[in-house]
Amino acid sequence: MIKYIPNKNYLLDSWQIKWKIPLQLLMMFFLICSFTLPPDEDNEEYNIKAAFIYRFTNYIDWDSLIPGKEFTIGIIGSSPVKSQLDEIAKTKTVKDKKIIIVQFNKPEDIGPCQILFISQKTSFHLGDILAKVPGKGTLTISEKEGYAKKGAAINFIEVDNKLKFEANPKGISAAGLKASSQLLKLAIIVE
Amino acid sequence: MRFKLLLIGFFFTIPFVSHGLGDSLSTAAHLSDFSLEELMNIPIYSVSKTEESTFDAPLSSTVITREEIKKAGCTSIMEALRLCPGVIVREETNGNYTVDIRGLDDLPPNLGVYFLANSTTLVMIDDRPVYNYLHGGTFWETLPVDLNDVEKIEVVRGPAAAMYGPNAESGVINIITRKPEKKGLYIVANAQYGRYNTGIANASLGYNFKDKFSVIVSGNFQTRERTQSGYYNVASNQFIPIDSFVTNDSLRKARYPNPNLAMRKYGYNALFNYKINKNASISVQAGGQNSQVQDIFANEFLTTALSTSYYANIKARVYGVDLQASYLTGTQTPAAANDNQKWNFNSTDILLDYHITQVKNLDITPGLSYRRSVYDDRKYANVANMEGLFNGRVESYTFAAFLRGDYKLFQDKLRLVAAGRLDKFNAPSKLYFSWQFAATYKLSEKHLLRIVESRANRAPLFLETYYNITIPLGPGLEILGLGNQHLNLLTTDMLEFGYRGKIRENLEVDIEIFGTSTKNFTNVIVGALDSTAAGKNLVFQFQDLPLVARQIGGTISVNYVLGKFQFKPYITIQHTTLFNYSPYAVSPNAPVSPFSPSPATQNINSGMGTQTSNLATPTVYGGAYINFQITSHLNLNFNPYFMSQYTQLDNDNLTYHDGIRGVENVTPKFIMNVMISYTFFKKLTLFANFKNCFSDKTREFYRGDIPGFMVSGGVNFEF
Repeated sequence: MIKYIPNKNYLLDSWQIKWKIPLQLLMMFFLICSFTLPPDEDNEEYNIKAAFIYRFTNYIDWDSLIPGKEFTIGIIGSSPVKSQLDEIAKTKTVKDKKIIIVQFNKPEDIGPCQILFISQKTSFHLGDILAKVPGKGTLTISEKEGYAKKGAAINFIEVDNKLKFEANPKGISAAGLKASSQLLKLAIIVE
Repeated sequence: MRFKLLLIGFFFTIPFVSHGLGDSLSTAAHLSDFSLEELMNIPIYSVSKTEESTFDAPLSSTVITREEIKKAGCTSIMEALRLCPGVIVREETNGNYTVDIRGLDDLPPNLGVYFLANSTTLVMIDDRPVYNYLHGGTFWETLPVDLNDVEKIEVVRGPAAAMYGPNAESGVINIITRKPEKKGLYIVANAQYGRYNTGIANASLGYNFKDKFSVIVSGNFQTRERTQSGYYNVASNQFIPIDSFVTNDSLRKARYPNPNLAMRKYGYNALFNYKINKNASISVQAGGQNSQVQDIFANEFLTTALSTSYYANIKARVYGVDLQASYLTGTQTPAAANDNQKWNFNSTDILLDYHITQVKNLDITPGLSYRRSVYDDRKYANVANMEGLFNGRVESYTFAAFLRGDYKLFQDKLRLVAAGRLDKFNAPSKLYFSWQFAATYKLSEKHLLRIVESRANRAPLFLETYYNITIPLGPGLEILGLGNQHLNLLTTDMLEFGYRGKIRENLEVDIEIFGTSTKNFTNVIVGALDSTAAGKNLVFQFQDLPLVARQIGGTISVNYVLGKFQFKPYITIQHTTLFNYSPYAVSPNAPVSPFSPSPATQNINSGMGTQTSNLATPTVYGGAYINFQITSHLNLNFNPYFMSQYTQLDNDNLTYHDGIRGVENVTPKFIMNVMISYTFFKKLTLFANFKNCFSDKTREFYRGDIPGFMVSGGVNFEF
């Protein structure tokens, strides 16, 4: 059996051929990445959540629990939903009242509001937040698994890549609110 | 040139298309006019939801989900691995592949097709190893499951034997099968038919009784014809007709019962899950497979490989104690009607571990493992004349003890993972220790740094340990081919750094940079002349080589979701340097012979102190998963895959030494796959599947078939 060592020139040639294409591909990769960097668009999920929050107001009866001429939606924890709600507030009203969006940073800051959206990014415990929700008239909406069971009135969940919501009728009535049967029919009821 | 323009043109349209889609996304103000029912029906997409989250994983890992596999139109588990970063998937013949994690292939170079593919990747199905202990790697066609059974494929890159056992040296591929998640009836069925008479039919039927007890039975079938006729002949460097090299009719029929067939296989499985209570559960799996493929083995031409096997796998969990016992048995013929290529085999795996949790942020898992594998060719080979490969019943086993620890501190910001495993094999007899240290540090919720240091070894292979043949050369002179029970096991050390970042809500980046060093390669070495009363023996025996392979490389993967558009490109760049490589498989003590013309100067030590490059691993490879969910019914997916130029060196290179024969120069490959699917009523999907759209005709593997453009169509039903 005759043995053979690949000669140096052959190796060198292969090496050059090997590197040329890779470098081109690498450049292309970075080009693609730089081109496809996302523009500052808001996440579609929060577009939908904001629309949900707005639509919920049609199915909840605050009765006489909305003082003043404004309908306040509070948000605790940073969330992309804020800019979306701001967008809705520009053109829509709730029960003929102007929509105001308020950002709260910690539970102690929570002031009077008709809806309190609890962002999944907040680092505070749900119990601490609910303890600070002032009296009656606030619909709490969360977006974390198990939160409806733990006391939030409404909780967003994802089923098969679609947004659904859980409703906790006890939590809703404890807040002095009434939910329409239509809303409860669409919701996943959590006791 | 045309190819390049197409490539560039294609990629450059992506940003514009994607931005276009972004613009058309509904705004909150627009959506606020929708009813609740309508809002509930809008599909949502985001990085964390479309991909199994591996953000916190301490090792380099990727999860390929069932959804991705389906949308990409993959037709087999092997093909689905092209969706994974850091994995090189090369097609030998239609549907038959070799799969390498981070290369480490064709080592040592010029050795022969036995070792052209990576032999150090541990493949498992539901944690049950399906490793090929003969010469390492995996006989992919012998997996009993197919895509209808797959929930996800988890891939770990880098040595991980401390966690997964021997052979997890380049990495681990764990195929996780589906269970009926929802209560009630579960049906999955799909069928497709396409070019080269490729036909695939799979079905699963299951039932989930109140989340307590579930059962699934499944079956799969694939048939594929070759993309060309003729067989590659090294001497003429051409594809030649079958009757020109096997002239005997009956032998030809035995060796090549179906010359046009690339693959025909079927598999069947049954799975029972029983959840006794919150703390106790048991699952039992059993099944079998039968396969016939034509692919590349250690012979001059393509061979017909036949296999029949059966398995059982039991997993039980009781209060933190996990017990897994599995058994695989079968008959294997990697080269039909070749005297020494048929045997019975079986392997047993028993794993017991105890998960001790939450001792001050510390999780500890001690465990024990037993693995045994047996090959027996007595039934098929003429053992008296030493015509088999082993000429007997040979076994390899290991008892092992392991300990894993997982410690979190500084409010879970820092995580330390350590694992060690001690293996005691029957041969070689020395103790082997594999380990793994990993640390992750979360700079914030969105940025994670990683470091991994690990060592892993391969299990002893039957070929190198128990090879036992005799070839008469002439009167009074024989060649003895021998294995070696005292070899050092192939061992890899790795140091790796990684970063994962959630740059935005819809953009994730994963970067890994690794360096590895692998030693204890082996080869059949021409040894000293052995004189016996009957005459002289020239001994060819497996021996350790001084060769060391060092890899350096990195992988970048990106996952970007914009509304209904998802873009996941991934690219790996790597280089392997060989130290002390000598092409001479000759001992310095060998006699001067036609096999060892000048043993004093041309021997296994002739390469000491030298450095060469391993050309077999492409320097750059990767791909992308590009998905457009055009409407809630219509989906369009592009999944390109590319490999830069690579050169495989076979033993024929040493025979012909002309730089052509035995040298597979593969020019850069670009394979574009496109899948269009339309779903009716969430259950029924019709699809058209296009593979290798630009009809890249470069052969991907030495002696393999030339791949072709493939179109197929089919239907998928899920209930």
